[in-house]
Amino acid sequence: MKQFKQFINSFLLIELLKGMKVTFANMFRKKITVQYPEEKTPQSPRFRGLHALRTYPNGEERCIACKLCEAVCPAAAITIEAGPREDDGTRRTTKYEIDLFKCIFCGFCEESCPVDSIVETRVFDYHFEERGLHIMTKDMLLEMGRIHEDQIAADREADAKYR
Amino acid sequence: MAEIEHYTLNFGPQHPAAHGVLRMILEMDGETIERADPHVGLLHRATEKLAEIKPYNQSIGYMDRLDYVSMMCNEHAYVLAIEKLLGIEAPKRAQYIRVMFAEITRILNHLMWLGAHGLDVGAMTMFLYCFRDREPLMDAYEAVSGTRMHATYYRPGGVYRDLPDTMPQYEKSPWRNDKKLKELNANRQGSLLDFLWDFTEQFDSSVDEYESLLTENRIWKQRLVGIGVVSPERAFQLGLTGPMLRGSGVAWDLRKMQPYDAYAEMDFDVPVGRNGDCYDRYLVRVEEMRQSNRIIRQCIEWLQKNPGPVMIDDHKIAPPKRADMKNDMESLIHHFKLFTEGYCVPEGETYAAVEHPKGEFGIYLMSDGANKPYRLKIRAPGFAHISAMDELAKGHMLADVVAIIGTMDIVFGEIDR
Amino acid sequence: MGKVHIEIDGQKLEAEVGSMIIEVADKADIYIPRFCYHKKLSVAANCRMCMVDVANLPKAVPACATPVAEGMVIDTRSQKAINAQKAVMEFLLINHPLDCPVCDQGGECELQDLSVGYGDDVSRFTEGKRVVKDKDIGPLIATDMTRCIHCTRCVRFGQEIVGIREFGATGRGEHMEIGTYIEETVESEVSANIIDLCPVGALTAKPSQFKARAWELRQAPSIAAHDCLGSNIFVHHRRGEIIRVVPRENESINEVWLSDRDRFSYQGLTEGARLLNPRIKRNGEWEDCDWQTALNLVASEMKRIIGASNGNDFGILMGNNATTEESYLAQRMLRKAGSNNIDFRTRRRDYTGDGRGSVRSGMNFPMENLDTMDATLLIGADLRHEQPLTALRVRKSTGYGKAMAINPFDGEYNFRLSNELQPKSNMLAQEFACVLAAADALRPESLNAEAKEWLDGIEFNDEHKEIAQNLIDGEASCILMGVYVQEHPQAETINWLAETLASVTDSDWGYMTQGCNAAGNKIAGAVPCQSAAGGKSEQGKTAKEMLTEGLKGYMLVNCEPDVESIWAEQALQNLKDAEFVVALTSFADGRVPDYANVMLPIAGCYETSGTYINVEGKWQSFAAAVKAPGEARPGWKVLRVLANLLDLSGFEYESSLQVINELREKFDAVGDVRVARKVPPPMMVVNEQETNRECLGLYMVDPLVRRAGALQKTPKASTHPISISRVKTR
Repeated sequence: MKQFKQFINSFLLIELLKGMKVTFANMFRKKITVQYPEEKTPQSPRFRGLHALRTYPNGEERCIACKLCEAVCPAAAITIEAGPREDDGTRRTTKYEIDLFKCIFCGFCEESCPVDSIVETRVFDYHFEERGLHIMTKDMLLEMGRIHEDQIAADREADAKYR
Repeated sequence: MAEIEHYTLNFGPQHPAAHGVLRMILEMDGETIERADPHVGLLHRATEKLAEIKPYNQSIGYMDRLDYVSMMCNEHAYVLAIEKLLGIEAPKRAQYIRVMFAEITRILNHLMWLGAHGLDVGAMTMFLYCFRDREPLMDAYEAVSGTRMHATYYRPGGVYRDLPDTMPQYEKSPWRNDKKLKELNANRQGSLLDFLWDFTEQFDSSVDEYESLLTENRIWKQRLVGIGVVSPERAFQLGLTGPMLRGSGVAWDLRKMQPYDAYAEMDFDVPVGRNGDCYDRYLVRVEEMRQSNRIIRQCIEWLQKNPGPVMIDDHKIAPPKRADMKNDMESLIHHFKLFTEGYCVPEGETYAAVEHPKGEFGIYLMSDGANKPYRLKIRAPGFAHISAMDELAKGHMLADVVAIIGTMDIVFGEIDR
Repeated sequence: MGKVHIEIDGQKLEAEVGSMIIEVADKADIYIPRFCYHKKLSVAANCRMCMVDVANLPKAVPACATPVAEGMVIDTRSQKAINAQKAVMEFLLINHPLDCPVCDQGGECELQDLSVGYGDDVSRFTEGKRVVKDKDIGPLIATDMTRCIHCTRCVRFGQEIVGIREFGATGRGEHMEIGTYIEETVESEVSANIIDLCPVGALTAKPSQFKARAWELRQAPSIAAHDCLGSNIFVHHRRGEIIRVVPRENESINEVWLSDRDRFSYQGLTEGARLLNPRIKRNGEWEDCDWQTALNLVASEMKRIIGASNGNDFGILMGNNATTEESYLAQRMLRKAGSNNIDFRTRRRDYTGDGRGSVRSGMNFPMENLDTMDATLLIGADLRHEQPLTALRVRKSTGYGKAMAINPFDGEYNFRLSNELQPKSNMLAQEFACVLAAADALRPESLNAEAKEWLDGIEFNDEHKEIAQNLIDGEASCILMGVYVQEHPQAETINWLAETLASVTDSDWGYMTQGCNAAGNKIAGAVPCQSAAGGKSEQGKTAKEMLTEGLKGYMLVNCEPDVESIWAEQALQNLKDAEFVVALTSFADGRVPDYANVMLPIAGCYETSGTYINVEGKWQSFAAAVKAPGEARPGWKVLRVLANLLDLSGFEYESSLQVINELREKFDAVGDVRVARKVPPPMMVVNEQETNRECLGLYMVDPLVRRAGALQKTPKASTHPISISRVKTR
């Protein structure tokens, strides 16, 4: 009896039809694709994308050249040169570079920063058109910070209680 | 009559079925494999050696990149090894979070495997379905860690951050009206746990769908049944672990045998196969997904009821809270020292293994009392599995090699490390 | 000294009676945390960090101030000790500002280390912290006194080691502040040692402020190149740039200290305008060229001048911090090429001692013996400004011994002198002879007839007698001549007097030399009278002759005679008049470009490997710490290739080690020879004018120091320690 049943099942392509039913049913399901780039999937406030250096509302850069990020960076992607700033003698970076080819986006730099200066933004879609542009200079990082400051601040605010 | 010599075929390393950069020298007698000689090392990044030159915590990110489809499980073994040497234990809540994400990772891994394996064998649709179902889990990854893959989320002493209370939402776009947007965001109204609960609710039926597509499918069976058979004895001898071992009928699961973190409190079954062929291993993996789903549900229930710390309260090892760091001297000093020098681990050596989706993933860690490992050895399950390639493939057809590679669930990140 | 038996953390130890627990523990490698305790300083016991648990005592006691006693059982990690340490740590951090991220000490801070190792991990203190106003104490040391934890190491250093109380504590309790009483610059020549001593970031090095973190630095052992001690140092560099220089402990030379000059001179390497390419002057304009062109030109000019004048009209002058290898190669090259005109003594007037064949210069006793002298007689020695660390040693001996001085100037001393004579500068030998006459009177049997005859008619007074008596009485006594003596027209006479006086009074004797490698240069044979290791040589021209009489061709190896030599103006004129001047130099500034025809860039200090032989005769080799910039090459390599281009054989060296080994072999065959003068030199009467010249200032001694920015900003730089006005000519 069992053998007969198996034969019938096999002969009538029952299992194949079952499978096809699934695929067919899926044709009428809700689409899960999104129309990128007009539409994006949700991003967590914890998202770790491209870096930025933040500034205080008065325009003063936050970074104090403590070099914790440089020390903690597992990939040695961050390079900092520091010294007293010309006008007021405070401790500042003279060079702050992130090599995006080395960076592994682990977020340790942000974790280590005592003044919330280096952060990782939500930006993940970027490209380079020329050699050498993968190295983000201090100016590029500060510019990133200026452009995205509102989003960055909101994200840090949202995540503050967990950190 | 001219003597027919064996034909040597170079398979990979850039072959879609090679799962990365596997290169195999196949000695063929006609279409039959006489000898399969896997070559490894094309994805070697010296992870073990790199770990020796940086403080313990800085290598967590590199663990993600070993088996890059089961990221947090790799981290899990690494942090457990460090915790063992330090003699600390993560808070209960952190243990549950870690177990939950280990199981999420298992589903992620098995879905990836199922999709890719299906594709290798000829079942195109599976790939799409599996990736569709990976999406909410990836979102869960992103919600806790900020990245969809390389999380760097587990830490010795717990996890970096607690689970978020809100989920990010889809935003308005020209492509969706309010109603559709609301539908999309329906499962994102509560916390991450609610979101995951919603996933677990429907995941079993998803697995049913996969099974109805594959399990009884004659092509699928023809490609898998009786291919790459390993007897339980040989499986032991070859050092196979995980589904490769359980497929042969050995109920060996580290989560049951030597429970770590909160696994002792979990209720789940260990599926085993009977014949030790590719088909049984497929069945084992599919069942494991269902079991993982069960574990996740248990974790969610517990986590919803039990708030608490997710990191040990010892700032000699775990960095202090950011607010503290900015306000009190001791915390600042500890923050500074932890992020530059890290912590020192007492002299000793240890082996910590987890039941990784692919098998037994172990970290052998030696410390000479410094702030970086003296030696780190990674026991990658895939490495033992690929060593069995010759034995499994011998006598099979060329097309079966693809099925065998698939069933081994090979990922070169961990094999070459 | 008796011994007692104690037990620390279960280890049974034997200790000397009267030693403190912390000393015994340190010897046994048991670490007890501390801030105020320092092995070279007195015990203050004011940080209270070193609390340990002594059995049968009710409270934890400070290990640095508790002497050991028989049968003591000490536990450094008992709950009682740990609690005490934790509590102390908490108090220390109460007023410490949250500065770690901006503090230069971060990463190498004892406060951080001990907080992590012994303190609590979270603060209970929520009140306001105190703030202390910063002091400006000069260009070398940056202060941030809010960070101070009042260990008073800096205060004790000034008081005990240097003998100049520049720092002190005012106020008590929370109002205690460390400072300079009145706002003023810290002046001492060893002041920067307080940077090393300060366990926190209150005192940090200003020249390297904010430049680097401890963990970024690589450490290379080296030898300081600015005085004849050859202090052992570590050069800390990062990405090819020297960030700082710190002392390397060597009990027999610099102990744990370092003079400011040795510490901050590295700045000259980056602050001076470096010569990056070989340069040739064509029609009065400097042009960069490659090494081949420059060296070929130098070789052909050398051949021409030496050939035309039979070697008479070409000379080499070695600079003050030329390495022994450079000197050896230079003299070997020159002698093989047919000339003997090589000298490094651009500040010597009296060459009558040449030709005696001695193979050493300096002291015939170990420097550390200075610590324990019962009597020390200084002749024309301004130790503080010549060899600052020697002054610290003499100061140490004055705790129980006597220090005396016959200096023709108002010296600055950081120790008390029991006797001080201030002759006119041209009467220094005469005055000194009086002491010998007094000694002769006290011990009539020890001098030979010739010497007695020489002394005939010299009268002495009570002061001279007292000095002689002190030397005789002292179980250990020494006569130490300063650099000034070597520049004196009667240098040989004074040397002979010192040697003779030493033999009469059973004392040690020695003289300090100019530059860091006078002994090495002499052994290498960079003198006109003898070749390497005292080998025979025809007499060439001395530095004085070369600079005052003029030559057709000069080679200057890291030497700027227009600044360094005594005959600066004459030298400058003669160099300008010369047909051909080749300067091996690191710098393209100064007056060298005015008179040189070719400039060859050579590596500066810390950029070349080499060997310095210090005043005691210690051979100290070192490797290059950083790479020389641009096309600059180590001097020994340049000289080696130049010798090849002059078609001289035997210059196939591949490393500086081969060069020094060759010299060492020659030297070992001869040994450390000093040929005593048999006949006393004539007692000359010298003209006042002759001695009436200034000494080289503290921060003027060599091209590198002259370009070190921070040092040049110190008050000591603007005043020559012995200037014309202060040399006695009355």
